[in-house]
Amino acid sequence: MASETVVTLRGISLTYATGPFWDRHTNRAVDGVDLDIASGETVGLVGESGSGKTTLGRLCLGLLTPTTGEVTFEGLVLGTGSRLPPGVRAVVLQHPEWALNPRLKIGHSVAEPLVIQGRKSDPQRHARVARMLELVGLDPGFARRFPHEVSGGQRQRIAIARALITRPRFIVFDEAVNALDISMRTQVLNLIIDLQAEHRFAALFISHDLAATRYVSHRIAVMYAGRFVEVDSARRFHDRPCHPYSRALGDEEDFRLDGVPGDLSPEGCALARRCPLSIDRCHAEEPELRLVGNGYAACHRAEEVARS
Amino acid sequence: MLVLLVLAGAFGPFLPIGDPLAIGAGPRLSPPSLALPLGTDELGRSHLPRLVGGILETFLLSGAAVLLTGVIGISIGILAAYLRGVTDGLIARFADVLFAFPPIILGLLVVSLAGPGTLAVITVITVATLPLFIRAVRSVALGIASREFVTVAEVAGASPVRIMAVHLLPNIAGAAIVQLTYALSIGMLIESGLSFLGLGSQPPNPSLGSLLQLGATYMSIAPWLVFPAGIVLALAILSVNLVGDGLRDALDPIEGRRLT
Amino acid sequence: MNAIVRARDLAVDYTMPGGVVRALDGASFELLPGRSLGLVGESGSGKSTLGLAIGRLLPANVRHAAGDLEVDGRSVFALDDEGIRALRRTSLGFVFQSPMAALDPTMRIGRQITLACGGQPDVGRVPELLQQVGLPKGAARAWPHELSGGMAQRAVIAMAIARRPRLLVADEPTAALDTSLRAQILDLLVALKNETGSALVLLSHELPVVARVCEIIGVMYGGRVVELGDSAGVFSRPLHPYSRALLATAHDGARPGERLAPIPGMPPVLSGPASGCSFAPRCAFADERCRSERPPLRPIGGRLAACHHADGTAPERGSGMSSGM
Repeated sequence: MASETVVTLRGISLTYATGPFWDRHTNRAVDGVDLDIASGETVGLVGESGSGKTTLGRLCLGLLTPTTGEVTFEGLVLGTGSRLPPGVRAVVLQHPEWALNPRLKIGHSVAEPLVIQGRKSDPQRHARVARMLELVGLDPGFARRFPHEVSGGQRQRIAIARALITRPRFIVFDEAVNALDISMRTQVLNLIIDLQAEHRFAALFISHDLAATRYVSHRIAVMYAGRFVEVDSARRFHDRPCHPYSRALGDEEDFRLDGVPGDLSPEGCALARRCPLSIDRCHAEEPELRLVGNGYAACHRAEEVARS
Repeated sequence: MLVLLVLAGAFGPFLPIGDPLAIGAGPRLSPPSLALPLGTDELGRSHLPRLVGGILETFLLSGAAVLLTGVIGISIGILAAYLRGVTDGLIARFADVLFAFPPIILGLLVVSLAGPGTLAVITVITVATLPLFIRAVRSVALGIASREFVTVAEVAGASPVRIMAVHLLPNIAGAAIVQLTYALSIGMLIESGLSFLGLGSQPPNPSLGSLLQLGATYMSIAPWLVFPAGIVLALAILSVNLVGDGLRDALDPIEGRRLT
Repeated sequence: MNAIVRARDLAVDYTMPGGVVRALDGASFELLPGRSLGLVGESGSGKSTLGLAIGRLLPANVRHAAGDLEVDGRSVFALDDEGIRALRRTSLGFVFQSPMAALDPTMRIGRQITLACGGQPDVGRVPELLQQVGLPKGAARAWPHELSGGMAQRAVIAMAIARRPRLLVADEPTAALDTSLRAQILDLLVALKNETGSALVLLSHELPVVARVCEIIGVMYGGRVVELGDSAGVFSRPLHPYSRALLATAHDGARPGERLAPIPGMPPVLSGPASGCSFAPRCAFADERCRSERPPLRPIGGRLAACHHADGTAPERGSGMSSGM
C-alpha cells in the first residue's frame, strides 16, 4: 500500500469555549493529532460519540480550521489563503434522508460537483451521471427521479455516486453506513472497497462500529477524548488490539468500561476512571502514544493487554 | 372567495357600476336602491364602485409592501442562516428591535417624517411585517443549512452564492410563500388601520380603511355605509389566511408521507 | 404451562396514501412465562409492528387483517379499551429505542417513576427500582436532560418494570446508545428478567447481540417469523436461508481480508398476503414451489422454520457461508 500521501495532519488541535463569558471553559475537541492518509488507503476512525472523530473529519475537509497544527493536502497547507480546486475532496454523511436536496432531481444532485467544477456544459455530463449510477448498482433512470421516490439504501448509493463523480483524491465517510440495514450495509461497504481499488482515492472512514470499520479499512485509529489512543493495521484489530478502549469497543467481556463516555479523568489517562485495568500510574501520568508491536498505543499497560 | 374579491378589485374600474369619484351620482347619503346598490356617501358618490376601488387599493398597497417584505426578508433570512455567527446575531437583534415597534406608532412616525400617502403605507407595512418574516425564513433556512447536502456541496467547493441559490432558496420557498400570505393579511389590516386614521391613501381615492372610517362617522344616520366595507375587509383577511393554510398543507414536504 | 404471549398467523395492514402495506403477513410465535425471545429482522420485516401489537399500541392507520395475538391467554384485539389499558398496566412493560423521547422533559425522574408505579407506590419503591436498574438514589431528583443516554434508558427501564410486568417488550433498546453502554443495558434487561421472573421480548436487527442475551430467537422476514428456535442452534446452524444470509453479513465474524456476501436485492414491501415465500426472489435455493406455495412454519430438528427446503440445505455455520450468495 506504499503510495503518495494525500492528507497529512500535524499536531492538530481544536479548542472551543463554552459557558457564559464570566465562566468560560475551554474544551478540547481534538488534541494533538498526527495522521497521514495515502492514496488508495482507507483509515478507519472509531470512537464513541463525543470522542472528536467527526470533528477530526471536518478538519481534514477544511470545514473547520484547527486552533493549532497544520492540515496539508497533497503538499498544500490548508487555511493559508490558497484554495483547493473544487472536486478534489468529497464527503458521504450519515443520514440518507438528508443527503440529497429534495428539490433537485437525482441526476442534478449527482452532477452537482461537476457543475461546481465549471463543467456545466460538458456534453459528457449526462453520460457520466449515468455511468456513476451504474457503478453504484443503480439504474441510470434514477437520474430523473426525486429523492423522496427512492429508498434509504438507494439514496446512500446516490450519495456515493455523487462523491465519486469528480474522481476526488480524498473522501470522508462519516457514519456512512450507520443508518442502513445489515444486508444493505454489506452491499455498500463492498461497494466502497471495490471503488477504492479502482479509483485509488484516500479515505477516512468514521464510525462507532468497530466491526464495519475493520472490514473496510487498512489502518484504524481509535479516538478517545480528542486523542488517538491506538493506531494500527486493521489486521491487528481483527486479532487483538492493545489498548483497553479498543478492546471495549470490540465488545469484549473482560474489558467492559464503567460509567459513561463523557466521564473523563482530570489527570493522567482520560480513560482511567472507566478502565477496568487502571492502576495508580494511570491516574497520575498521562500515557504517550508509543510504539507497541507494529502499531501505536497510548496505554501504560498496552503490552499486557496485547498478551491477554 | 379571495378570487372573487381580487377579480372584483381588479376589474372594478371596468364594471358598469359607475365612477367611484363622480360626485352627485345620486342624492347624498341615500340608502341602497336598485340603481345604487349600496347607497351613496356624504358627497353623493355611489358606494359600490368606491368599495370595489377600495378593495383594489387595499390589495395593491399591501401586496406591494408584502412583495418588498418578501424580497428583503428572504435575502436577509438566508444570509443570516448561511453565515451564522456575528452576522446572524446582528440580524436577529435588528429584527427584534423592529418587532418591538407597534405598527400604528411606527405609522405615525413615518407619516410625520414623509407625509401621508401611498409610500408611507408601503413603508409601514414592510417594516411591520419584516421582522416576523425574517425570523420565519431564518429558522427554516437554519434547518436546511444544517442538512447534509449543504455540507456535501461545500466540500465539493460550491460558492456561498451557489449554496444559497441552489440549496437554500428552493427549500425555503414553500414556507416563505405561506408566511407571505400571512404577512399580506397583516398588511391589509395595517393599511386599513392607517387609512382609518387618515394616514393612508388620501381622498378622494377610496380604501377599505377610509370607507370604514366614513361609515363609522355616519353610522347613526347611514348604517349601510359601514357594513359592506367591514364585511369585505373581514372576508378578505379570512380568505387570505385560508389560502395560506391551504398552501402550507399543499407545500408540506412530501418526504414525510413516504411509505416506509 | 400457558404461553405469556402467543401470535397465530397475525396479519395487519397499514393504510397509506399510496395504498395498503401489509406489515405482518401471518406471523406466529409463542413465549412461555419467564423466558426471553429475541426477534431479529431488518427494517420493514415487521418486528416493530409485532412488538407494538403485543400492547395493541399500533397507530390509527393500522388494520387488524387476520389471525390473533394473545397476551396471558386474552386476545388483545378482542379486549375493549378499558381492558387493554388494564392489560398494559398489569402485565406489560415497554422500552423503546430513544429514551429521551420516552421521558417527559418537564418532570423529575422520581416523579415519572412514581407515576409509572400507579401514583401511590410504597415508600421505598422508587429507590428500590432505581437501585435495580443501577441508578444512584439521587437520580430521582434529576431532570431527564441531566441524564446521559445510558442513564435515561435505565430510567425508562425502571418505569417499564415499575408494576412488575409479566412481559417486558424492548424494541432496539440500545440502538441510540454508544457501544460501551450497549452491553450494560442488555445485561441489565437479562438480569431483571431473571430477578423478577418476567418474560422478555427483545427486538433488534443484530443477530449476534440477540443470540448472546436471549434463550430463543425468532428471525423475521416479510412480516413473518421464518425461523424460531433456541438461540445457540439458530446462531450456529441456521435453517432458513434468510437466517443464514443474515449471519453471513454480520461483520463481527469476518476474518481479515475476507469478503462478506451481501444479500442481493431488496426486502419486499407487501400489499397483501404473499403468494409464495417472500424471500424467494433473493434466495439462492428458490424454485418454482417457493414462488407459488407459501411455506408453513413447521418443526424441523427441534426448531420451527418456514422454508420448503430447510430440511436438506442446512450446512454448518462457517463451512458454506457464502455459498450461492
